[in-house]
Amino acid sequence: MSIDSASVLAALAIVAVMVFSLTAAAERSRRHASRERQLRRATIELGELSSALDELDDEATPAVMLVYALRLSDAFTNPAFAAFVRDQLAQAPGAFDDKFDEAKPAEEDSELADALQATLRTRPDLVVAFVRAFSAAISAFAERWPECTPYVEPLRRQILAHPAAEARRVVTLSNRQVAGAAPGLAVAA
Amino acid sequence: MAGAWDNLGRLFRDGLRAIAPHGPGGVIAVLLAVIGVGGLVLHADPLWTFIVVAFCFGAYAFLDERDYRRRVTEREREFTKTTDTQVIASRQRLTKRLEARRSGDEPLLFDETGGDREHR
Repeated sequence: MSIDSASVLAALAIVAVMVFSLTAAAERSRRHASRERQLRRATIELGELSSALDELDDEATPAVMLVYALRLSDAFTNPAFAAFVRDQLAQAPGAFDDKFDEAKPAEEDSELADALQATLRTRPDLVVAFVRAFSAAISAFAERWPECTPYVEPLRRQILAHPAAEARRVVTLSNRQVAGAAPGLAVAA
Repeated sequence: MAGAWDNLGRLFRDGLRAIAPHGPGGVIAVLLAVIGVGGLVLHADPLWTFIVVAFCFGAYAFLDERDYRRRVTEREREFTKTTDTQVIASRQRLTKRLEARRSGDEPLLFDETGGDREHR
């Protein structure tokens, strides 16, 4: 039984294709496992968000904090908002950098900031729940849509120092997305 | 000689077990390669053997990738479905509290609830 060189060459080519396929299958399996881990973490964060929102369901929570908690949780669980952020990042990768690095004390002087300050004196647990809801929403958003991480990372850095200003920025951006998606529903923060 | 075949068979079975966790794609790739090399050993035309095997690899990879994307999307939905529902329920409770607190003529700050939309 003799095997010619063309057959050997073809056999080697077939083995090369097989190795390539196996490598691709292993890589895809690894990506899938990694995505599952991300989604598991996202579900934990969503559970945390739900529990923080339940804590805010209190007679003493100021209306403005309820409004922002609703808007933030809405934006950060909305695939359309994620797509909007992704588009913004695709158009300008540093789109969100400068806005978060600058200190903007004027924006802290908002109704939300006042409400947070006042509530901190009387019911600090509600302020903690608000920040926890904000933080959990951001984390769940980052785990579900990791391509939006460049938007989320600066938020994470600033959230404890300037929760009111960061909440305002998110809501403003969310309004831009809603206005773009459905003209006529545009609203101003 | 029989020992060599046994060893080869065991090697093949162990190999299949090793690649099985990566899904049926790996097993099918190995089987296609074995069939192709077997055909060459039996003096099949090398060019046609390679073309047929490569086509089968390509067709399977295409179909499998499409199926994989569909399964990943479904799995993502399954993962977040329960917690998304919890968040929606919590949001609805907060919306009710907010509505109960507001007097009829008090202006809204903006679209406060985001329309309370469900994102599915």
